Amino acid sequence: MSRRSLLLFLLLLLFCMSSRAYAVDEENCLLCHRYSGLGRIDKEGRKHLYYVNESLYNQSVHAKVRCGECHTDIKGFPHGTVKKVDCAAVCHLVDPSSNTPFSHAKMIEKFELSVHGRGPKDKPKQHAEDLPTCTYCHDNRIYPPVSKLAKQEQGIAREILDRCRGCHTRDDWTNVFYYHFTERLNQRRSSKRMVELCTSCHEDEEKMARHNIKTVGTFRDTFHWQAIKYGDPNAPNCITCHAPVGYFSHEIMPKTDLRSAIYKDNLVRTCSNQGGVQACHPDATPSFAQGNIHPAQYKTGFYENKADALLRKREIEKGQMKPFQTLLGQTLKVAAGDQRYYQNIILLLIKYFYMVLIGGLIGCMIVHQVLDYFATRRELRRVVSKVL
Amino acid sequence: MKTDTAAAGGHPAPGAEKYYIRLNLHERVQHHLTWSTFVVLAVTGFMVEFPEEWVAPLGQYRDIVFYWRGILHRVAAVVMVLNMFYQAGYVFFTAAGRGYLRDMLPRVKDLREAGQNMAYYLGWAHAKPLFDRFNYKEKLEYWTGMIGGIIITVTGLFLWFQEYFPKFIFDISVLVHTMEAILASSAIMVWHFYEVHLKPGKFPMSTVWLDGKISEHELKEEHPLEYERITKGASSV
Repeated sequence: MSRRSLLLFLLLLLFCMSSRAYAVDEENCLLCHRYSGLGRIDKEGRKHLYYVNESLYNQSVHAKVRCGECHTDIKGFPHGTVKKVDCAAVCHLVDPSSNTPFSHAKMIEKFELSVHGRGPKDKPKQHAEDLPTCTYCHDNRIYPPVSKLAKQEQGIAREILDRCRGCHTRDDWTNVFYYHFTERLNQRRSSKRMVELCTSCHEDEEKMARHNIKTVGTFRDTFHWQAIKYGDPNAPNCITCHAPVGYFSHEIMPKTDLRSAIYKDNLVRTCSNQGGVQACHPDATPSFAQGNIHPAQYKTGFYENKADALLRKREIEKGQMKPFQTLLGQTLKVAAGDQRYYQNIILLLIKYFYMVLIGGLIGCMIVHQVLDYFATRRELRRVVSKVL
Repeated sequence: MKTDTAAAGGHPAPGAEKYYIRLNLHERVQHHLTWSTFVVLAVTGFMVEFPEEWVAPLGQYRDIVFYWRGILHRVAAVVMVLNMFYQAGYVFFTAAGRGYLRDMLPRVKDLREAGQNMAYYLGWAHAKPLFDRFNYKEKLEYWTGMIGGIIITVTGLFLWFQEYFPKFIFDISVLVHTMEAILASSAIMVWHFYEVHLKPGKFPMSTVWLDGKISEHELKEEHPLEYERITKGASSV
């Protein structure tokens, strides 16, 4: 066989193999992108992978969206460098509820005005590169097969899916829609995954200091986290308190904003979580709902992190003072941060007191018992030798 | 103090060991309630502090375990507190209890005895001090247990009814409750378990907690002053 005919044969084979891909992939992008080795290393040494796993993609939320709907700048084949996808683009899918072309634009608009957004286009925030983009949180999850889901969760069953199939005869479409609805009725991520997602930025001390906020490192010292660790369905994750009933995760506001669920006057409502799925603290009082929910830094020592110190300084500058009752009955005006700081020191002193007490007392006890052991053995030997 | 004999029917067999009652029925019941609730509270309490890797093997039963952990901890806590009231009633309102409390009160001689005992351990003195009904070790354990019990009960109530108190009280309670639990558990391991289980001559365990009886030679050896008092009173059989 000549080299040319071999090449032709291989090309033919390639086309035959990709026949299944043609059915979904109208634009024939998978002709190239189905190969797992497809990728490059750029000048900075970063790896780019261009491989698309067809079967996984077909189970993803965007399974019914053609490549060109998001990658709008690709007009022909072969194509050059491709721009990043704009999630606010209008795609050719028609939203059945309004019969208009579908877009995430509205969501993004709200998001950009939230604490996580980049702010208005003409006046972006400082260090905007630290802020999450759509795909940072939305990793375009893959729907697990129905059989697996049906075993795991109540209410998801083949019988129900069969009811849909009565009218919606195309299985691939019905499956995707069914998944969409059943998924959205549930929490998208497990609480543990949610905490992992949020803390991937919020535990980064440098990043948080750039934005003048505290890290949430000590969330893992709370009882809330202990319950999450055990998979308690009632356990609150980040979203439960920062976007409770009546709030929206894409519209989280800074805690100084009236629209924030953790604004000081909204805290009682947030802790009581009336009307929420989870039963929280229905009897919450204002004094219960104040203070550090992610506990004070006493676990890490007297050291006050940069963000804490800065926050305290700003509170003093702005004159955000609180009455503070001393043990002697005097009422002082202190900054909220000062109160936290002094409470922290009290907690630390208690902690060190106990550490010395435990170390000292148990240490002495061990020494005492070791001495007792040898003395008792000595005594027993003496008694035995006397008897003998 | 009543006496008992090892032989059945109350007739001492020749050469049989004579027994004395060290813990009466009230005291044994109180001890049983204390140790059983303590074990439940320690296990269900420290479960909260377990690292994720230890929790993972529970698999899908994790949340059920967590739910029952909370219920059990509270039930055991209530039983333990009721037992503390029972003890208080016993030591104040019964003759035997008042005697128990009187003998348990710390005195200056306990400090002296502790010093003498250390000298004995180190070989500087030839004989142990003569202990009475409760020696300094038992008194230390009883009173630290009592104080610790009160602290852990109060902080536990603050945690249980957290909604009605400021958050700072909650923060302190979490810290104190945990630290007190670590202190109590390690003290029990080192102090009590050695004394009644691991000590040469006691291993695998002293049976006083089960039948309340202590043999004459043990009483003579460990609580000579009490033994003297009992035998001098000549009320024994």
